[in-house]
Amino acid sequence: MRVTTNSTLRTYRSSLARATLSQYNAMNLVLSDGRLFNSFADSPARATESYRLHSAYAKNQTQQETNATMVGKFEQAHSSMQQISDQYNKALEQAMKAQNTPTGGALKELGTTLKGVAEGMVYTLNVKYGDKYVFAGADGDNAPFELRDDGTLLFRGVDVNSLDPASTDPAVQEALKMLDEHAYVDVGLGFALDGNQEVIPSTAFDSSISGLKIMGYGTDDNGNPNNMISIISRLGQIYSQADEEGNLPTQPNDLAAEAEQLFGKMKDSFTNVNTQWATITSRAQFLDSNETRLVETGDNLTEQFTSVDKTDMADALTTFAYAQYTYNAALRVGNQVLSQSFIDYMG
Amino acid sequence: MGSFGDFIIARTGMMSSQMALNITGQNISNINTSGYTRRTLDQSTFVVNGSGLYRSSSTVYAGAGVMMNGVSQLRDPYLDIRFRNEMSGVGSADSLLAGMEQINSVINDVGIKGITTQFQDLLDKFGKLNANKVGTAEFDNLIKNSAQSLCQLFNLAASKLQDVKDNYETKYKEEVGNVDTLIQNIRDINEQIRKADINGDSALELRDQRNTLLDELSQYMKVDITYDKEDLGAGVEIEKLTIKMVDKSTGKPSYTLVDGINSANIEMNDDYSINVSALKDRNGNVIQTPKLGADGKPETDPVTGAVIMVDAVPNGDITEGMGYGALESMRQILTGQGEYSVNGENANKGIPYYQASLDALAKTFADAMNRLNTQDANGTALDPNKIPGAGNLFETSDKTADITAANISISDEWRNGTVSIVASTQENAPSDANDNILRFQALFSQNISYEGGQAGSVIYNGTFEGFYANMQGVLGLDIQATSSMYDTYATAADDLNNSRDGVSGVDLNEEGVNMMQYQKAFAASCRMVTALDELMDQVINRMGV
Repeated sequence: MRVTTNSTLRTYRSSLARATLSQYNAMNLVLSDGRLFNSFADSPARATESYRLHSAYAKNQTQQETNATMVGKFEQAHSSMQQISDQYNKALEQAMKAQNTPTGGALKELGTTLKGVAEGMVYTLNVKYGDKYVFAGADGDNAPFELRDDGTLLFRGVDVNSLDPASTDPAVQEALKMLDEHAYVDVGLGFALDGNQEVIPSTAFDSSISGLKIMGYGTDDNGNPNNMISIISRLGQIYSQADEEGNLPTQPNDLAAEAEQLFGKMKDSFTNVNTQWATITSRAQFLDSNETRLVETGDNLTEQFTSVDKTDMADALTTFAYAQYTYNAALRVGNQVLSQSFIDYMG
Repeated sequence: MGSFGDFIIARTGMMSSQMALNITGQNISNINTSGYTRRTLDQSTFVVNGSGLYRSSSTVYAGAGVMMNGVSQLRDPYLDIRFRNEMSGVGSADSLLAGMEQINSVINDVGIKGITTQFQDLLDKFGKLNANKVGTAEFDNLIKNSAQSLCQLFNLAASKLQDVKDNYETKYKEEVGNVDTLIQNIRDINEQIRKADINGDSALELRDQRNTLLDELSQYMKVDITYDKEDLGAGVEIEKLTIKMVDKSTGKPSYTLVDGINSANIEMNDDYSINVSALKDRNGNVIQTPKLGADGKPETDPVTGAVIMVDAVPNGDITEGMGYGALESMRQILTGQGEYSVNGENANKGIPYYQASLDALAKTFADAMNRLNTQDANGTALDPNKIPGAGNLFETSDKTADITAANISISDEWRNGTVSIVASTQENAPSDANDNILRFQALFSQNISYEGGQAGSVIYNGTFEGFYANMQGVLGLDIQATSSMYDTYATAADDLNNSRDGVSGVDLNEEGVNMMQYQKAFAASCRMVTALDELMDQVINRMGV
């Protein structure tokens, strides 16, 4: 094969350009902190995997934030329940004193104190987390509980004692739907909708906390309220009607008997509250462990997309060193090969 | 031969060595001239004696010196054909790559904030709204701003793609014009070579120039070049160059671009296809020939009696599948609709494909969001009096009917607060009811089908982000494939170019040796003259004195 001056030059030129390009790419690899591709064209497979990982990571971050917000809400709920417990113990103490038939105006005073405890419990349960009321179920914009002067406790405008599941009153049935409310949020449990475009409950976390469920509702067979605040409030109402000798009116109803029944129910209502509190605690514990799981998932995803997007800096520097070496070798070869020809040696 | 005939022999030797040195000098001077083919001196022994019947057997003839027959070029036409074939591949792949890289510069959002990250941001805002912020105006505003940014990104991408298309169209028109000029230039040189050939001049420089133009033309279109003989009469034949376009679908030559001193014009049609005009003569008039009837005789007009003339070589439009080369690649970039093509034409993926893809994504996204904000899960329309905020979230900015990437915008009602994100589709729902927000969130993970132009065809089934990633992935794969094709063609073209150079290129080493050789030959011929002079001197001045 006949090799001419120009074909040698041309081949050298294109080889040198290739060596220059390799060096340039290697330089960019180092300067971009090892980034292996800047578009799908550079590596379609890597870029596709990378986009999926980044997308999952973005969702994971949102889920972590949501989880953290829920943790905050449930911590607030737990703190409020602790207060309720303290307030209950105070109420129980007062009620026990009242049962021991105090003389003089002491019973009346106990009544006032009990009414105060009931009001305090309502304040506690009307606590907010951020912009929303914690114990309002699915109506976080509005304060859930209201205690009237006559001792009636309302939950979202409805008398809690009237909420009898056996009632045929359509208004009561409508109001009872408040017990079936949910406020689902996505905390990374595989959030999905069913065929009717409703959330599949096992794939989301229900963040709603119903003060009504916690404190009780409706009345028992004797007509006494199940709700703890109603009980304490009613006791307070009763004892406030005592005379100076500590006697309670017997007409039109035997208030002493009623008070005794209510006192008996106090402990039951608190057992119910404790059971509900335990449910809240277990949901909060789930959120804690979920947080750990989400952080771990996030870390895994970060590790994965870093390994897809970037190469090890040591590798990048080695690649650059080799590219530089190749380039310098090409320059040296050029100088040796191209300068001489026969004409230079002619006499 | 005679006493002084030997001087003539030496003189022819000197002249031919001098001419050879000139040619060597010409070769060296033109080593960097593009398209230059090395020359060589054709010489043959000069013989004046014949072999007659009565020739004496004792007379010895040495010959009468060297005769210069002419200068010829060293070129392998087969290598030229192979080289030009590869160059059409190089031109094709190069143009495709250039176009695709321009499209990539618009839609690529790897590692930067773009449409993909904006979709993620919008989903994030819905998540934040859902976590303890349902119904707050502040978070509805955050979602609105994120959606507006997304719309602006769509508008920007659509506008940039349109710019790319407009610039490409201008470039394509220019290139078609350039190729037309190139064809006419080849025709002009053909005419000059023809004149030179008739006059007996070898016209080597013109042939070199023509070869350079042919190389250039081969990048734009795949051409079939043939050299025929044109009979001028009286036994005189000269070379005639014919260039025909190769039909890619059949692999055979089709339209005639240049036929000797006749040529066609090419121009761009409205649909970007190229029309090759009928073959015209040197004055630009279409060459016509009598229309032959079924009996092989010329037809005449029944009314006027004149012979009906038709175009001798009508040519025509370069239709889908016929073209190959840089021009065809540019046409594909401008017209390629890919799977959005309704009737199967323009099936390559060019700018229109990516424009249609962006439009499909924008429209699908906007329609889905609007549906969630105006209908319940069963498809019943929401009454804004009962469900506050119900209404379209997105609309067209130019008030046309269909939402596209160029005109997608948040609706005026959403902007002024009449419409907001519907949190729940239940009437009189409590303030934290979020069933509809959950549907908005789920929308970003839903697999949606995107249909192609032909009924029943599905281009992609997946999420919004997935669709955009798929668009980039399809382009990325195309770029990779075309890039390797380009490398293959370019390497083959380089090898063939080196082979061509091996035949017709100038090598300094060789020319240096030649220089020495001819110099020595010249010196030897001069020495011969000196020797002959001494001989004559001996005869004239010293013999018999």
